[in-house]
Amino acid sequence: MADYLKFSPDILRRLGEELVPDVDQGIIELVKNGYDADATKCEIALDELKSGKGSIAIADNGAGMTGSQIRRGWLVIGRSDKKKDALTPKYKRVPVGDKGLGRLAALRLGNRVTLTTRPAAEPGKEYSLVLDWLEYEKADVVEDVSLEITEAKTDLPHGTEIRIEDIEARLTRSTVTKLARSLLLLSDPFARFEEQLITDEPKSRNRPNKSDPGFSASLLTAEFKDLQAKVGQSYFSDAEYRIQAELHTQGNATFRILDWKGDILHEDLAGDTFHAPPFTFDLWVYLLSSESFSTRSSTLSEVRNWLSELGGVHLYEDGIRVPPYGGAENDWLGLNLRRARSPEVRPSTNTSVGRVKVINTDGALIQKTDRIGYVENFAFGELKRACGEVLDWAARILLKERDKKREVEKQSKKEKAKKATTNLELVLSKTVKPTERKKVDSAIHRYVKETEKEADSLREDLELYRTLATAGMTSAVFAHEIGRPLKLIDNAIKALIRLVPDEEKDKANERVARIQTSKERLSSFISIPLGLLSKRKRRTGRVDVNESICALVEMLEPITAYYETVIDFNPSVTVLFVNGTEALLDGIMLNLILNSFNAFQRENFEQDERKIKIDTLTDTTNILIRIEDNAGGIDGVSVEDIWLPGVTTVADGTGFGLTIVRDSIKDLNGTIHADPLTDFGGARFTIALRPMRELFPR
Amino acid sequence: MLGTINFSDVEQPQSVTIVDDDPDDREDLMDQLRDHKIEPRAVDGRYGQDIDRLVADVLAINSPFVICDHRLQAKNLASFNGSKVIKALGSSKHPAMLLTMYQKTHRLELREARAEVPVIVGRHDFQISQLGVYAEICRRELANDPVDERRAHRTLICIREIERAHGTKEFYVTVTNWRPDEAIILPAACIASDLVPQLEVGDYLLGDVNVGAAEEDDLFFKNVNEIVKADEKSGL
Repeated sequence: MADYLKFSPDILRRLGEELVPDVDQGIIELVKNGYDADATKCEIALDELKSGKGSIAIADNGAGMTGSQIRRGWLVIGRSDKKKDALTPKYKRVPVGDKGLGRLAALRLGNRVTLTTRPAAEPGKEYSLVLDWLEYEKADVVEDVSLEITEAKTDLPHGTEIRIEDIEARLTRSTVTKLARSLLLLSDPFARFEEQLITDEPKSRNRPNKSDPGFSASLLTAEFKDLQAKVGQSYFSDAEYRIQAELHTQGNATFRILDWKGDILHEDLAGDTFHAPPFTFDLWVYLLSSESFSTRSSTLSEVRNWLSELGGVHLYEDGIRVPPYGGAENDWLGLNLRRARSPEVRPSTNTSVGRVKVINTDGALIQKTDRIGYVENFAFGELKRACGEVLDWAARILLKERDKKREVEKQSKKEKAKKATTNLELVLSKTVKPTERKKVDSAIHRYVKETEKEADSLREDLELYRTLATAGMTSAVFAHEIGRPLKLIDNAIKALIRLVPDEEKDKANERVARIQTSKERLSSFISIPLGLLSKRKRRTGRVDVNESICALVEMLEPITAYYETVIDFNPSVTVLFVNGTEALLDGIMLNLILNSFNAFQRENFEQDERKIKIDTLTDTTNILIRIEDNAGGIDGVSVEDIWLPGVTTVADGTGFGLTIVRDSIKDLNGTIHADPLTDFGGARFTIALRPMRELFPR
Repeated sequence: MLGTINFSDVEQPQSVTIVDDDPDDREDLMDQLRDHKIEPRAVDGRYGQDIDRLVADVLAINSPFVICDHRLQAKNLASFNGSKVIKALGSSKHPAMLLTMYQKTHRLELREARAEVPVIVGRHDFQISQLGVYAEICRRELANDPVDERRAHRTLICIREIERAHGTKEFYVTVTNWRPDEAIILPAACIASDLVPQLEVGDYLLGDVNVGAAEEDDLFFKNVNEIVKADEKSGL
């Protein structure tokens, strides 16, 4: 007698649940089966999922299955048809579904599954099958549970319904949100909004069949209606511009920038060829400012919310979405990194939404077994490279555009000034007596000269802040990048210690401890610019002066320890608030503290106990912040000159610190006074700021 | 770079005194010396402005060679720079070298002191295996027999540009017998003080420069005390 391999029911659980851990992806696989069955719509109904006894029904109007198709196909777990050359019979679609494990994971969600299908090939017939998973739990081997396919007459049109019942696991709101998002994105919602591009390019023979009416999947659920409404909205026409790359079959690509109507603003052929399957990449970029939304029907917050649900670059293979690209936290094209490196005119995942539509008939892109993403092969690398190139190309064009716009603005201002002068001349000649004219001319001349002086000083300030902004951005970029080598140092130390023989370990540990200390010092130094640049700190509003200074002093602890300095902070008893940004206050305090550090290290100045004292207090009208040190006071430069840009008494000083202090205090409507030398043994700076009055004092 | 000069059969010093304000850097250097079988000795404490006490302590330790860090202020070991320590040790005929991070702004400060500091090595270039060479360069200089790279020659220095900033002047010069097409900054402190106010672009100065120096940072300027004005130089 011949023997056969048998399978324990456990294997069904393991295969389904462990290999495809995401519930939403399992359900999406069932929906994809509908697409492969040439369905035009698919409805997913979720019922009572919060109760712990809910059900999910997935119904499509596809070709359905005959009894033998159920036996030879649907009931065979693990048969995965990944051949791309067999198109679907009716609409010639490239099959996207997985006949194996993803489906099993979804079916295992409940205790019972009912399949009802009406094949188009056998009109008037309906086949049903019930899978009772509790029966499998009781059985020794999978083969012991017999299944019966029943046949009945029907008047209903062809299609398939899978009903998963008795779902014990309560689906959380976040899982349903994910499912709703996946369903919305599954069948390319972007397609509804795209314009036909004007191109002479002959259409590829591999393009999907034009008679295909398309496929839509909708989520029916009373419990999560608000979500449905949110993700169902679209704001593509509110985009500022669209970046597009089209990769043709020969590997050459066209890059474009389009306006919100879809009109081409810039177009260029890519300088390189790319060895990836043909695709189109569209990225809708939004300018999320109240100014840009002031004349639109949609509001800034609507678009912002919508982008937070939908933002990112989604990838569609032959019309069906491939997760996880563009999913939450998935920035596969590195938009945010590109923006961090060069913030001007670069979109981020928060300000853009995009779609890559790839035609993968030749199967150059290979999906991973768990259906989450592609294998990172050469073709996929080339696809990413082409997308990166178009983003860089667009950034270059947009930068040029911005510069051109600024130039035009400058020119127009000059022309306006010229016109105004002519007008003034005209008015003066008509209204001022010739005998008085000389006096008036001379007064105007003086006025113009003073204005020019002010403009010159503003230009110098601008130059200074540009330099500082560049330095700040550069240090932030490197601060971000430095985490990796620091981690590498950690790992390398551990690896080296393992190689050290036991008898040498103590000696080696002493040396390793020094490396660790240096690494930690480096980490804390590097975290300072990152902390200062955090977005939260740049938000205008109520700033708690004491809290902010206290946090800064704590952040500087590694530096104060290194320079053997003690910062003594004495906050006021009452809470002090100013209206401004924490970044401004940080900038003021940090520059003054760094000045003290530098002063302590002046050549020929001796101070055994280096001290910086910060006091906050309030008089009847102002908040006062006093910062003083015992570093010998200000010498070598007059107190009036210390605020000027470039003035420094320190060899490696930039001379910008106190200029920034002065300007920042001006921004906070405050004043600063410097005492060159006090009894404490050094300079004292007293800052007076206007307090922010609370409407409802605590 | 001086550290690359090759001397056959120079011997490593048996012990070295280290003057460094950062205890981690000091310990690290001491470990490196131990690894090369050189006995490390260190100066510790706080000296404030008292350079004489520091030099006396170094001399009392009596190592044949001294390595001194340039910035001694950060961790408050002293309020003067290491270059001053080297000069003072040189006056006592004690060989010593300067170790520095070579920050951009320290370059000019070091150029001013370079004539009296025979060896300055950046921390990234420092090699214990070259210690014998560093010590030999110092020894020969103290014996008035400097190596070729440290030998001064009377040479012409051309003023190419003068930058004025906040009451100070920076002179961009070319050294005709060194690299006539490479402008470097000559600190005003290296020029005879009575000449500084007269200097204009195109003028030539005469001074003693070690034109055999391999790198800009190894150049020193001494006795820069003669001037040839631009309008007088047609006869040169």
